[in-house]
Amino acid sequence: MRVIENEKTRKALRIGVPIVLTASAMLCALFATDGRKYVVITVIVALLTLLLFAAGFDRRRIGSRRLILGAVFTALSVTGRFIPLLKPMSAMIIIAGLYAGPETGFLVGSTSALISNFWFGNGPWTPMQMVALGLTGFFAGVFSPLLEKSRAALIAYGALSGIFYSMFMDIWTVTSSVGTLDLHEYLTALYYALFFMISYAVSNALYLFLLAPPFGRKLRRIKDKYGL
Amino acid sequence: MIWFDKCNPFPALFYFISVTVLAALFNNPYHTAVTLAASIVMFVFMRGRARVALSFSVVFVLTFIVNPLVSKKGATPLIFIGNDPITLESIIYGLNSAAMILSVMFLFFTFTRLLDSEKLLYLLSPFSASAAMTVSAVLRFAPLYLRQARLISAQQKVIGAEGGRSIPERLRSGVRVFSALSTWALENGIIAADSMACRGYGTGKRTFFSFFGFRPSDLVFLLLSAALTAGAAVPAAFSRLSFMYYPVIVLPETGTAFAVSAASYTLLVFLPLIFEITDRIKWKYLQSKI
Repeated sequence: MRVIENEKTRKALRIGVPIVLTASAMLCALFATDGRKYVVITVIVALLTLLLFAAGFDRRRIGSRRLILGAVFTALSVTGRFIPLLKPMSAMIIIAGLYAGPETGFLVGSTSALISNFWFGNGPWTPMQMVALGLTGFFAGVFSPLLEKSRAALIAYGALSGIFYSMFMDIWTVTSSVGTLDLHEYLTALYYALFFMISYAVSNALYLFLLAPPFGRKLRRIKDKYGL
Repeated sequence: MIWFDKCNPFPALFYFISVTVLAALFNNPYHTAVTLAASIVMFVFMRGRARVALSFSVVFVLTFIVNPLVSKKGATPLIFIGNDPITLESIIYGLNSAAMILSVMFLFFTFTRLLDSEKLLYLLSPFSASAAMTVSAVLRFAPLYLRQARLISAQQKVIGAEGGRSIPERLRSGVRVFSALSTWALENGIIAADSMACRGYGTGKRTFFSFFGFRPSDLVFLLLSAALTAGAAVPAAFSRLSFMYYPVIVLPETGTAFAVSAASYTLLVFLPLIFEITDRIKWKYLQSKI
């Protein structure tokens, strides 16, 4: 059952709503007049984004194969988080978005953040991580025509999304510790977290370089073998 | 926490959300201390390991350090690093918010321990059946894949494909294992999906099965925690109960409003422990009568 029949409107909504919500989260946090409630605002808006996505996801009937494929990608990226130092987690999420579309990308990103945190520690930061990784997978799906064509673009996207993830999570670092968020504090936090930002960007680029072409082949093989 | 484990997941979720939100909103040393005390008692009740508590304290120290380093607010500079002052107020604020985060981490430890896959599925299915299905499938796949990865790695060793100790070699063999794992996982997933389809997944009207009823004590717990949440939050809307840190520390107004709010909050935070202990006492009493 589809609520909105027009394909173009649905597509616009699908892409627009997360962007609008995330932007409003940032704006609420930046311009809220009352000085100290940013933590709550950020977490609540992050939760809202996730709920909205989950509700929208269910409107469409998806086959069991697509559903399980999403679960397989998620489980692989959760498994990838157990590799020490350089983690292929975000790379797997990007690959999922690339080959299975933006919605599956978002689902894989957010679910793998939630589930891997059962081992690595859940907390109020989980919704933020879910949104950050979800958007990583989502935009990989949105830009997939470009990213599938050029390997350089894919690796650049991986590095950029690592930087984006680090910057997004530093909003949480600052709001949770300082309570407010202004540009100077945020930049200082970014400076102190530079090492993590570089390690995310490098591991994303590296794993996309190593894993993306074989994954394309594997998925083509599955398509041939099972007629997906 | 036997009582809390048997509790319906929705009241439990409501409790955890309202305590977390209230702790963050009040953000004052009294509330932080109460939350920390209760969360540590729950951590002990849940038999949390000392190693876990130690890893939490690392996060505590890191969160505490960030604030004085990053924030330049506050009227009482203590020392200067370069041109940047480290102020007394920012140290106290950092200490409080780090303790708040620490208590929330202890609370979430308890919550994650209580929230097994069955409960997660129960909580998610009203919002999105597909997302709930995905989550439960992942909870089964992730440990399976970890085991399979160990198997593949052992087989690689046997055929002598496991490289040397240098970082590029280890990376290469890691990627090889991961690649073999994903080929296997994709095929395994398709077979699982087809088997689901054969058994009629997604054909008829969706029905739910759950282990969780709604006991009278769950309802009492839900109503009490809602009332206490209101009791803690409503007085705060009418008078200034929050703690001011910047530019100088100003204590909140004390009076009836503060007393009502603080008492309700304290009761709210300790509520599951009260239920737990009452239950244990009742159990002991019933046993001794037999």
